[in-house]
Amino acid sequence: MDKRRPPPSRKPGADSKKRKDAPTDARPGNNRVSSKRVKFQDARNIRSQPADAALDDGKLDLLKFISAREYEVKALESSMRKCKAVNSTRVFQQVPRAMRRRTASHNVKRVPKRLRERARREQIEDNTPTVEARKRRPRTTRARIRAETIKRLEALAARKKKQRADKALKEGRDDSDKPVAVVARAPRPKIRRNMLNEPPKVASKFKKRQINKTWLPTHLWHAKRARMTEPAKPLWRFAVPLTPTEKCYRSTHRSSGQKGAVVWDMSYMSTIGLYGTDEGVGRVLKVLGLTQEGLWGPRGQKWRAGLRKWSGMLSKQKRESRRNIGPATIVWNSEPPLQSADESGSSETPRRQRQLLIRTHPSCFLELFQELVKLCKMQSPQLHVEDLRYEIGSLELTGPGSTEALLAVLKPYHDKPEAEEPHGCILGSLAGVTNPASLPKDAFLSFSVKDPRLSYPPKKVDVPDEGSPHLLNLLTKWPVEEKLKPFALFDREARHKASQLPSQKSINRRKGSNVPGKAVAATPADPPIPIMLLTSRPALGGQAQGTWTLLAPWKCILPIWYSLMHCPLSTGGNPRLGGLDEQRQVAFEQGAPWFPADFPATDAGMKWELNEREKRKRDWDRRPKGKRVAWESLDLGAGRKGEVGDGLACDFEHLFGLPRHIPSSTPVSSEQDADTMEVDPPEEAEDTTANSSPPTISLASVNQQTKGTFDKLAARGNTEPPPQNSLLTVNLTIIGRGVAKTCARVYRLPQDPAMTAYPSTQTEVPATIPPPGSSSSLPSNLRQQWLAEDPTAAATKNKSRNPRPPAPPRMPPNADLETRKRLLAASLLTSALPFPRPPASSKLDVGGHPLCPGEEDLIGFVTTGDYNLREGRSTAVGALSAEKAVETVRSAGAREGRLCVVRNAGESVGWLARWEVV
Amino acid sequence: MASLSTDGANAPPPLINRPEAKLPALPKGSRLHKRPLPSLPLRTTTRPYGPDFDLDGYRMPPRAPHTVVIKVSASTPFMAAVKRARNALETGPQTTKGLPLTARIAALGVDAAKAGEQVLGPVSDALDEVVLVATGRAIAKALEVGMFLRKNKELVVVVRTRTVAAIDDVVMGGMEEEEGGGEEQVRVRQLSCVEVGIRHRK
Repeated sequence: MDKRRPPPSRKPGADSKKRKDAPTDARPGNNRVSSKRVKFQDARNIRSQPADAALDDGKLDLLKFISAREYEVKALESSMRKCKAVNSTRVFQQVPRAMRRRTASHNVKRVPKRLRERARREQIEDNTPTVEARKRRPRTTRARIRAETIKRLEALAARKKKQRADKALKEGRDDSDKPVAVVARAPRPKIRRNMLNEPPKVASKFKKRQINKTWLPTHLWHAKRARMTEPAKPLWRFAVPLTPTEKCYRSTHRSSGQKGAVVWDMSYMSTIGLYGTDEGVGRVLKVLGLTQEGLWGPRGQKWRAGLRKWSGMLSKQKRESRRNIGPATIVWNSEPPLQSADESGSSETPRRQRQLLIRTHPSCFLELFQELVKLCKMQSPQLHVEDLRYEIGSLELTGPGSTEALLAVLKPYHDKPEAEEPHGCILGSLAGVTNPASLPKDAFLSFSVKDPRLSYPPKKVDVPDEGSPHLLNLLTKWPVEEKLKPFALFDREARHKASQLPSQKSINRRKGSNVPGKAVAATPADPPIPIMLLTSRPALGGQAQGTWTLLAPWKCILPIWYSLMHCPLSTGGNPRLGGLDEQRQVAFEQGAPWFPADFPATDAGMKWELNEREKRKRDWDRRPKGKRVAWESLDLGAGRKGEVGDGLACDFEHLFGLPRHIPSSTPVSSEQDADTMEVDPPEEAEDTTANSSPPTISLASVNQQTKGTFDKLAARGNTEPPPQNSLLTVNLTIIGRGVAKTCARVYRLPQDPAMTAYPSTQTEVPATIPPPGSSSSLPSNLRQQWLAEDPTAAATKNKSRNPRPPAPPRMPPNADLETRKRLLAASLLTSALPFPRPPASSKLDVGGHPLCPGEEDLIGFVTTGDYNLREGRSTAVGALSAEKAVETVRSAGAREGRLCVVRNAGESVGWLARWEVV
Repeated sequence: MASLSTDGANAPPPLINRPEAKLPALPKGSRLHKRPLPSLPLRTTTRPYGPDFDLDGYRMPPRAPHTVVIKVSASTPFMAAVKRARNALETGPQTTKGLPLTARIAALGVDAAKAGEQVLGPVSDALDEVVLVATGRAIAKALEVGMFLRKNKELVVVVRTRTVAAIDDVVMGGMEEEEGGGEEQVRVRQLSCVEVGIRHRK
């Protein structure tokens, strides 16, 4: 409270020295400025009374004194209130969070229209410097050159136009009555057999920005609302949205699991068409790793008839072993009914032509495509493949509101009522389903929809009860076989037709002449859009949310996207936008590995890992020396110094004792695998920023083991030697405290010296910084110490390691002060707590925490790890050495063998965790 | 609250949800895969008498979009469920501040409908409820939470029972299932379910 302190003097213009154009008295806004300033100063001024006013002849008049203070408190409060009111909340601060791009700006034009006038006024009042992009002087050389070029090109265009007009005038012909009635047929995009497809032709305005990448159909929408990949560093040759601009970690968690929906534009996923005879296609797929009995026997009948999809890992033969390519989804086109009737009559026609779609990840697309071409040419009669990458785009939806959103947007197309497609009816009656996983496994629907712009904006759908008998019946029977026709999405002509949607302008015109609020009726000018809706269950089952995948022609993705984004959900709000990070987040929360980051034993995963290493290295290099982790001086206790392997990598080379890959130099190795890496056509070289030397050769020899093989190997009594140099994808759950991060080291529990040592088949663990003998200095009961950390086991067994200090003795109720003091002093002196505390890293533990096991117990690395909101604790996805994992489970049993210690790179404290193979 | 209809005959009336025939035994070497449970139906007041008698012939109260539904599982910590319910009660019906205009208008519509339906009494009361739902083994926990909150004199706790139909897939084989064997048979299982509605006394 100032004692009537004069307000800080502000001469006109004194405070605005920093600004370029100080307001002068002649300025029209100045009057308002000063009035506002006066108001503001008035609000800031807190009235108070000097203390001596309460003194009456040196005697304090208490009543007066108190009332004066009361007055002051009230003045303070009112000032605070007034300040808040008068104080500058600028109008752009009222703009909601979701419109963030429009808030933090001094450009009035970015503020929503209704607030623009006020924003302009405030700017004048506050004397905010404003910038008009049009009038901004180019700052950089590049920008200057660009501006000059634009100016010159404009002049050139104007001159040309004038010349043309003059010429036309001279020849006496009028340009305006050119024949417009005859419109050339829109050229169908070329799709060549067994060759890579070219990206779609882009408007010349955007051509330069897509030289080394392709935009998704929704790029312009996303670029305003999401962080995209850097212009010069596209991901998988696409400009991929990484994460929305607004903060969305928790909201994504909520809307993907509890309420709402998340939508992704996944048009970067690659689609391959495979065509040929039934047997030939079957042979090719078997070579690609679809060897399960179930698929080709009677149980796979539904899949082969085009009633279910298949999702799984594809692999290829490489010398003696198989190597995974990547995950894929395979859909067969249903056969025309005529042929199938033929077939049932006689088995004379074995050579039925079939069509398949293979949808895979762009990072493994090239590998798969080349493998497919090779395999197709080996068959006779030859099959052929088509690269449908830019022909078919896709969206992905997850969350309880996803079905509802699809229902609101997708209206089945039929020109006459009897031509209604049964799959469209099925989708219509799915209202009320809150989880795509409650549909039959691998179910999919295929039908044609109307242009969603005709019924824009989408309306809320009426949601009946999910337990209603009709829906229950539908979900159990799943009548997709009825009136099955070949799917239109396989038809190139149908896709091409759908790509020629009427312009937004014409739709707007039709809307204008329509009754307000009603959907515009479809005319023959509106082509049906062939779509396919695939459902997938969460990778680990359970009650988690499944996913809808919507496949549609590339050019139809944008209108569908707009409608989806504006679709009202019954639980409030709209579907949320997701990026690559959200994709990973959802997978991580469900405990599922995400391709390619969690599959280091595939070529795509290896490339990802190498890229990440490089990124981490760059970030590490950029930090000042004092602020970055010094790997060599990390103290692991018991005399061990230095990080195990490379701290910035999931160092599988170290784990398997493979030669290290040095990225900069040209590595000379006999193991170079020319097949997979070298044939990359130059225009397809995946990531040109990663230095052009061939990727790690040593990592390429590491293979993946499936859960099935692991279960067989780890079964009791099996003495088969586990495969070397192979990885196992696992899901880790930290027991108790601690958060695992990417690159964390995973150790098995150390062997009890009393028991027999692990059968060490791998003798060539390279000795690095810590000498090999160092592990002998670890305490002999280290295993017991770690087991005692397990709260579930500790409840039943001994609690010897960390016994709780006994509670201080209770004071007798009627003790006098003297006794109490004495007792307290005694209890303090005889406390069981160790004092002084033991040094942080003694020989026996790290600050009361058991020591990390030795390097010989290192079994793997964490590839993704974080705090998991769904579990309420830290979980991780990692890759373990299959050999060591099998050994551990065989020798320590199924329960104790799955306990491990996870230590973050650069930290000396490890945490107990449990792993499960996924 | 269930409106079971009795014919007045002496013999006990047959249970409404009694199955006509027992399900056949599972084939050998197969196991059940449970699909996710259906969620609590969302019913707005625009259709107070919808197609909505459940298997027991019980008409469920309407739900507003803002109704907070807390799913209780057997492993949910007790205090966590209590706190969630309390928080939801304190925050009250969702405020419309910060929502897009369309959502605000929609919220207004719900309120208007609520005002017009005072006659329905308990039905419109149920709109303000925070609902705990639990099935099977978790029923005990939901009831415990409800009883705990009943100690608060300000709150009204209503318990309703329901039957929920869950779908199971019968999958053949253990390991092959994940590799595309596919289900052969689908079964419907009836589950007991409890809804504990908690609201402020007016």
